[in-house]
Amino acid sequence: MKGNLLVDKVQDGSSLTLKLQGQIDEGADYSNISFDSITSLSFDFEKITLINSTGLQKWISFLEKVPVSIEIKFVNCPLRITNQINLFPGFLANRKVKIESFFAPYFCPDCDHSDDILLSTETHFKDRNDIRAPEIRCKRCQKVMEFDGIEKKFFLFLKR
Amino acid sequence: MTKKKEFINTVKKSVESVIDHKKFEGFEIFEPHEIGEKIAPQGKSVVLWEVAENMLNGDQLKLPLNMGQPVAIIDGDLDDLINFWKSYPQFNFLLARKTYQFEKQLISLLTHMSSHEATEGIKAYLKPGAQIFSQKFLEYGLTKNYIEQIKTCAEKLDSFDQLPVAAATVAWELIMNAMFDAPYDFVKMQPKYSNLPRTTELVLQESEAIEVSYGFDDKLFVVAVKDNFGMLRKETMIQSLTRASRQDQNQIKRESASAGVGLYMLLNATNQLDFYVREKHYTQVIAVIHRHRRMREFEMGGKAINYFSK
Repeated sequence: MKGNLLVDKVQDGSSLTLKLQGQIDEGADYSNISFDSITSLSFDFEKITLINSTGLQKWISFLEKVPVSIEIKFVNCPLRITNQINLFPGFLANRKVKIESFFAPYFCPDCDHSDDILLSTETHFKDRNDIRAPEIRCKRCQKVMEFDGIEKKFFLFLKR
Repeated sequence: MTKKKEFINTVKKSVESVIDHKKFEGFEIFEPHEIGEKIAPQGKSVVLWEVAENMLNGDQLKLPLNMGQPVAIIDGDLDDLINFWKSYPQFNFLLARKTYQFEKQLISLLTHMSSHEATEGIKAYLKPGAQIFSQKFLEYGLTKNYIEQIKTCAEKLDSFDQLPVAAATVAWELIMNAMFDAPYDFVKMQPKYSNLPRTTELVLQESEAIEVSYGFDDKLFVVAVKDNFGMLRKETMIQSLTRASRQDQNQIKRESASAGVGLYMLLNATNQLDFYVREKHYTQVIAVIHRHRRMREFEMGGKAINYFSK
């Protein structure tokens, strides 16, 4: 069955970024990805819309095959990806993956606006022993937004 | 007022407004120490409810597993529910309450029990006049558009942002299970398609058609999938959930066609999963997502599994 995942490759020297778009499912095809002379590999998940259980299985098999000499990073992870990492530690395929950025849910109790805010691990979570949702201001009314989740549960992936 | 009395009053008040007293004798609430230590897990405050055919008097206490239909309310989260079910598989109705926001699931269950007819199907879950959609499928490939339709429907609703993804995920996992795992060859006594790679462009036989339904009202978004086999065993579910919830290296099946984590994904994406199984006839799985305004409210909502078999 034809897959619904598009993989856009952007290479800069020995750094390769794979921008994934669509669904991570049973049809996802990673066979055209070559790691020759790559030392750093980033996965941009921003445009991933859905992931199912067989897609998860296939993803792990693919990630396991990435040479251990290559540094792996995840960027722009939407909630559906961080949720998978929380539920299934195997999503990281036993690799030391650096999760550089991810989206976190916030809502504004004043104007009722909700938004997924892009957070940077480096900027917002320097102290891994004290992980808390950073203060974010609403784009619409500038009031302080509330984190729309359970912190202990949502940020579990940062400790993996 | 003791904590237990407060608890009982809160739930009775909610339940009594919705159940049919002509058909339903009522229920009693027991704490573990009242019915025997061997059913109470160590160190957990498990509240065991018994839905009894006859109202119990204080001097007629028996082991509730032999009486009526016991409902287990676990003072914990989904993983606690799974651990409890593994230890006590004799229960068919389980509820994990996180922050006391489980009444909806309990009311739904007791309402169902109060009816002597089989109130299956999405219609039984939604308010009169709710929009319900249904379609039958033979080809796995054709279900993708329908899943997209479910997602689009959920996107138009004023609910937490992740509802569309949750609804689509639920539909997808239920469909895969109904098409690949459910069909059973009763002559050869083995599953028909469960070993097929999920990339297979599977086309079922006419008699194997599945039915996918979805609907919503102002409180709930419900997805249901029905197959014509009725071979979903409680023991299989407990096994699958136990492995998936362990989060160790065996969590995801690697060598088999199925990852074995679909049910766990389903439970995390929903507030309630009801299984209606009539052996060798049909299995209908109904997934209920509460339409909260905020993601956090959904996360704090209870988790329930109900297994109705005939």
